[in-house]
Amino acid sequence: MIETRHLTKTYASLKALDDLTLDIGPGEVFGFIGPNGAGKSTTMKILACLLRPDKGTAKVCGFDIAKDGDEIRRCIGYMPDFLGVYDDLTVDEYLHFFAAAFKLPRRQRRSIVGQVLTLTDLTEKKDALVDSLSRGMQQRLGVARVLIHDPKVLLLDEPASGLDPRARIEMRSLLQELGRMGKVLMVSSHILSELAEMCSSIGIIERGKLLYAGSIEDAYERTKALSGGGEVILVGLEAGSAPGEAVKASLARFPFVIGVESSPPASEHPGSAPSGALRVRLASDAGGHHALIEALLASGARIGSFEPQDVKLEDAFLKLTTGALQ
Amino acid sequence: MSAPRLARRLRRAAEMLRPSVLLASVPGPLFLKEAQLIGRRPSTYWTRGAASAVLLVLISILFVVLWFESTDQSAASRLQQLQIIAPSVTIAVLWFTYVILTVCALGINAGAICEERRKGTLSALLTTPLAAWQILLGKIAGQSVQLIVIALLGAPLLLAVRVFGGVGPQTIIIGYALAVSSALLAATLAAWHSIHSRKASTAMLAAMLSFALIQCAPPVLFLLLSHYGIPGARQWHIFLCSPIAMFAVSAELFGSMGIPVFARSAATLSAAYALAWSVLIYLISCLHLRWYLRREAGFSAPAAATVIPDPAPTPGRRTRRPAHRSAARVSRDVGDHPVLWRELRQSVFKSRRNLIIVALAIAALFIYLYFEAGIDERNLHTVVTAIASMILLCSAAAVSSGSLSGERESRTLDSLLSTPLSAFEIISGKFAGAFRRLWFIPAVIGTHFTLSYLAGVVRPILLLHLALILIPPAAAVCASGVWFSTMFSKSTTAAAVNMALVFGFWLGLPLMVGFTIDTMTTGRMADDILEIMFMPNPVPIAVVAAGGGVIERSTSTVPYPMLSIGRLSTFWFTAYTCVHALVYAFFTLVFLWLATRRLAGSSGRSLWRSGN
Repeated sequence: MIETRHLTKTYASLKALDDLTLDIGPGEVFGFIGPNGAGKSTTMKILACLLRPDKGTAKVCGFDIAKDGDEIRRCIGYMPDFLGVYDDLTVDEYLHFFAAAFKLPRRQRRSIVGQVLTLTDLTEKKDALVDSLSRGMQQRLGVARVLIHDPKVLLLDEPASGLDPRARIEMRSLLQELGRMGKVLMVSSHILSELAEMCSSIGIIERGKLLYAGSIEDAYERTKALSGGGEVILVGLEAGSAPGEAVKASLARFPFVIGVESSPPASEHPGSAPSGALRVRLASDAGGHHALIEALLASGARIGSFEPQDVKLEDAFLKLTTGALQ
Repeated sequence: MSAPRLARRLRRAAEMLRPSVLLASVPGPLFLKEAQLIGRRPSTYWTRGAASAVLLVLISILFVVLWFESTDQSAASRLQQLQIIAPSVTIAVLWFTYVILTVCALGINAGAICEERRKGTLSALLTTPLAAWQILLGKIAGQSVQLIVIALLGAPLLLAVRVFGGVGPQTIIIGYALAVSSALLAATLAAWHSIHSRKASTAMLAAMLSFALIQCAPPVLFLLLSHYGIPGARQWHIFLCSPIAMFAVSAELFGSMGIPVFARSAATLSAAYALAWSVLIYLISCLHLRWYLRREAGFSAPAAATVIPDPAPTPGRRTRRPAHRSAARVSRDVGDHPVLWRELRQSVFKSRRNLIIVALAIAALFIYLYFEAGIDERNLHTVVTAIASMILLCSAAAVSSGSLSGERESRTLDSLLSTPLSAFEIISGKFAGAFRRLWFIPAVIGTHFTLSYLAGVVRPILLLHLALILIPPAAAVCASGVWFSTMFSKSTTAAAVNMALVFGFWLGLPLMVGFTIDTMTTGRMADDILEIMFMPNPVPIAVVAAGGGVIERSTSTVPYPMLSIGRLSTFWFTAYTCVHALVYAFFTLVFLWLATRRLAGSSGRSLWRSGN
C-alpha cells in the first residue's frame, strides 16, 4: 500500500530524509519510531503530498505522489503532529466541513459523521465548539476527521502526543480498533510501549536514515540475537539468602546458564528484593525455568521473585540503533 | 484600594522607574531575543532590500537627471542644478521613510502578543520574573531594531542632499522625527491591539484604524472648536496630524507655498504629540496585558506582581476559550463548498453587540453631521467618500492577507491541504470570504448616499459610480492579499507587503514619476502627468464622483472635473468608471489566477478540477 524508493529531502543544509526505502503492505499497522528530527514527519508529509521529495519516488495505494496527488488525497487520511482546528466551528460542523471537502454525497454525510462520532466517542460533544474541547478530545476529533472519507491508509503523526494517560489509553484502543477494521496505519510515536501493543511492523529512523524496517517479532528476535541470545530471568533474592556473589558463582557452573549479572540495587529498582537481584541468561535450548529454580535452591538462594524478562520495543530500538550512525 | 496597598504599588512603580532597573530591562532578555529573531527572518532582508531598491531608484533618477542636465555646463551650474532638485529628493526620501516605517511598525508589532499566545509560548514567558511592562517594552524595542535599520537607509542620501543641495538640517531632522515618532505610535498601537486580537492581521487592521483616528483627532477638534466658536482653537492644532505636518515640511522646502510660519514648530509638536500618545498607549497596553492575563487565568483580584499562573496553552496546545464564551451552539448545515461556506460565515465584528455599538456610533456621527453641516453640503459628501474609500482599501489590504497564511499560523493548513479540494476552490473561497468581510464600509457609504438621494441632494447614479469606482479596486486588493498569503508564512508580512503594494501603486509610483518629471521638465506638463498618474487611484476618482453627484441648484450642468482631462459629462464619466471597473476586475482575476497557480504548484493539486 505504501512504497517509497530512495526518498531524499533536504532542508537547507539538513538532510531530513536520506535514501529512505520502505514497504508497507495491506493490513499492516506500521509503527514509525525515531527521535525528534529523525524524519518521521517529513516522510508522512511527503506521503500525504504536502511536501515534495528532492529525490526518489513513492507510491500510496498504487498512486505516484508526484503525479496522482488528488487520487492519493482521497485514499489517505493524514493527521498532522499538531492538530490545528477551526475554532469557530462545532464538532459536527468541523466533520461536515471535511466531509464536504472530500465530496461525500450530501445525503450520506449525516450518517457518516454520526458513525465516526460514535467510533471516536464524541457524539455527546457534537454541538460543542471545537476550541472548547480538551486536548484528548481534539486528538480524537482529528482521528474522526481522517476517517470521514473512509480512507484505506491512515498516516497518523504522533497521535498520542500531549495526551494524559487516560486519553492515551483511549487513543490506543481507537487505533487498535482501526487496525482490526483492516486499515493500513502508519503511526509515529515516541512512546514505544504503545506502538508495541498495536503495531504489526515497525520502522526505525534516525537522522533521515531507515535503520530497520520489518515485523515486530523479527525486531525482537534480532534484539535477542544482538544481546547474546537466550532468555533473561530476573531473580530477586530474599533476606537470609546466600550472598549474591556466591549464587552467581554457583549458577555459572550450570551449562544451561550462559550468563549471570548482578542487577542494580534495590534503591534503583524499588521492586527488586532487599538482598539484591540477579539477571540470569538461559540458553534458548535449555531445560527451562524449572531447572534454574532447582539450581538456585541448590546454591542456597532464597527466591523472592522470579520474572522472565520479555524483550521490549525500547530494547529493540536501542539495540538496533546502537552504533548505526556513530 | 486600601492605602497600604496603594502605597506598596506606588513604591513598586517608583522602583520600576529607577534608571538602574530600566537599564537592566532594556536591553533585557526579551529585547535580545526579539532583536535576534527579527534579524533572522527572511522578510527582514526582503524589506530592507525593497527599501534600498526604492532609494536606489531615486538616486538613479537623480543621477540621470543631473547627467542630462549638466552636459556642457560648468561645475557651478551643476551644483546649482543639484540645489534645484534637492528639495524634491528630500521630500521623496522623507515621505518614503514615513510610509515604510509606519507600515513596517504596524506589521512587525501586530503579532507581539497574539503570536506568542498562538504558539503557546506566552505561558513560558509568564513563568519568568518579567513584568507586563517589561514584556511589552522588550517586544516593541526588540522588534523596532528593524525599523531603525530601515530609517537609517535613507540617511546617506539625505546627508548628500544636505551637503551638496543646501537643504537645511532642521528640515531633515524634523522630517525624520515625524517619521520615527509616527512609527513608534504605530508600533505601540499594534502591540496594544495584539493583546486582545486573536489574529495578527486583525490587530494590524485595528492598529491602522486607531492610528488614523489619533492622527485625525487634532484637525477634527480644531474644526469643531472653530465651528462652534469655542475659545481654544488654534491653527497649529491642524499640524499635529503627522501627514499634514509632513506636507508642511514638504511645502517649506519649496519655499512656504502658503504654509504658515509656525508650521515647522507645529511639525516638531506633531512629533512630540505622537511620542506622547506612544507613551500613553504603552502604559495602557501594560495595564491591559496585566488585566487580560489575570482575566484569562480566572483571577478576580491581583496577587503577585509579575508571575501569573499559566493562562496560555502549554506548548503545542491552542488557546482555550475563556469561560465567559459559550462553548456550544446549534450546529449549522455545511454547504457543498466547505471553504466558501466557512469563509462566508466569518464575522467582521467579534460579537453582535460590537456591531450594534459601532453602527450606533456611526449613525450618531452622521446625524450630527447632517444637522451641523447639512446633508446638502458638497464637502460633507467628498470628505465622507475620501475617508471611507481609504478605510475600505486599507481594510481590503489587511483582511485578505490572512487567508492562507492565517491557516498556516493556526496550523490548520495541512489538514485543509490533505483534502482533494482544487486550488481554485480554496482560493475562491478565501477570496470571497475576505471580500465579504468588507461589507461594513460600503454599507455605510451606501446608506449615506441613499439617504442623500432620498433627501434630493445627490443623483442616484452616484451610487453606481461609487460602486464601480471602489468595489473593483477593493476586490483587486483582496485578490492580491490572497496571492501574498500563499507566499508568506506570516499574515502580517503578507498584509505589510499588500499594503506596500497599495501605497506604492496608488501613491508611491505617481509621486516617483512626478518627482522624475518635475526634475526634468517644468510647467504645466509636469502637473498634467502627475495628475494622470493619480487617475488609477480610486480615492480621488471617488471624490470627483461624490462632488459631481451632488445636485447643484445654481447650474444645470453636471461637471466631473477629471483632473487634466477636463470636465466630463455624466455619460463620459460613467463610461470612464466602467473602464476603471473593468481594469480592476481584470487585475482581480490575474491575482486570483496567480494565487491559484501558486497553491496548485506548491501543494501538487489540480487547478480547477474538483477531486470527485
